[in-house]
Amino acid sequence: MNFLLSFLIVFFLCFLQATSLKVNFLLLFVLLKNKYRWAFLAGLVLDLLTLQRLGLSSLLFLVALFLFRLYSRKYEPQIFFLLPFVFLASFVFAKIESEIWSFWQGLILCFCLFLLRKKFKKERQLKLDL
Amino acid sequence: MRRFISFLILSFLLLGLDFFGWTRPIRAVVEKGSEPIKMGIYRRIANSKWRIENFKFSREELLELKKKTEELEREKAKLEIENVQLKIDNADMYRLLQVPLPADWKFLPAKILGQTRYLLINQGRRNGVKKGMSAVFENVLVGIVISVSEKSAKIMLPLDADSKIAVKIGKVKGILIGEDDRLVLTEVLQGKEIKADDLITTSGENEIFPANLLIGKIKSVEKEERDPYQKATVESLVDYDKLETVFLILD
Repeated sequence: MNFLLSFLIVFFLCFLQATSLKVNFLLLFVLLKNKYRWAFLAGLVLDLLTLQRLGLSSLLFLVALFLFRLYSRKYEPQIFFLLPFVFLASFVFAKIESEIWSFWQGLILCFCLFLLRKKFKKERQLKLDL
Repeated sequence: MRRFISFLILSFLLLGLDFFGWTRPIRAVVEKGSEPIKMGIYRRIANSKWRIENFKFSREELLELKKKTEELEREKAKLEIENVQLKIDNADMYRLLQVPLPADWKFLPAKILGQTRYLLINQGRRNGVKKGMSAVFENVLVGIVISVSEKSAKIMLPLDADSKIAVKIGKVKGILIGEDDRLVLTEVLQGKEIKADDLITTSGENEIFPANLLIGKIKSVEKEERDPYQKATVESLVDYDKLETVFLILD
């Protein structure tokens, strides 16, 4: 059920980003899921729908998630790390994929991240419990 | 870590396959399947955007609008009866035929599937679309095809930061560029006369676009004595956000 829901979210976000959404919510989703297979899959679907080089978004999502996990392994992801990380990652992502990036898009993403901050902590807690 | 490396290798592998064009069949299937969904989402969002932009909060204005709507509804019903003979399947194609473009030009209509930085259209390599083709709506330039896949293509708008078009305003020549989501006319020598409402057309000089395609009209001119060139902000003749169809000029 969880898999199916996540799959639907990926498709929904990919379609939105392919047609009109300029904010990279998929990046947030990938970091939230914290799994390489989701980073790969999300990137793959996004590339297929946006005529981007197949594999490029996957690669970027994987690297972003790798860096995120590298930090999370040592420390609990604090908001002062997450906010600049997502802001910077969205900028790098847009520049490499030659998409539009504006300061506002980064801010919107950071705002959403701020709202979801508890979810990030919960995900980590679950992992520690396991 | 092992999982990360294996997915990383897989991504590089896909990039390589895509580079050599071996992923085309998969792309074609996905593009065909996703086309109606993309079109549906794009139209829905474009319409909502328009509604939000035009939303008025005043009660008086709403009442007035309601009254006007009723009047227009009546008028519409009347006009519908009077204009039955004008019903044609493709209104856009009809309008295209009315504009003075060379009769020997061939056009390929394309529906817009999305718009982020570039316009995404539903015609691709299989329909004869090639990189560098110009896209128009009526006789107004919409952009240039910058990438093509099996059943879709991307069009770069004149508003794009990478866009640079050789243009003319009557006999005066200049360069039209995209800057902060607006059109800017540059490289017009100080001595040359340009004014608001002057029409801008492609000059055809760099052989990227055919000559004499309309692009926009001058909104305001900025002259600085120190600068050898004049600058002008330009208003496009088409609203890129509301476009649903464009026409590609075939070779």
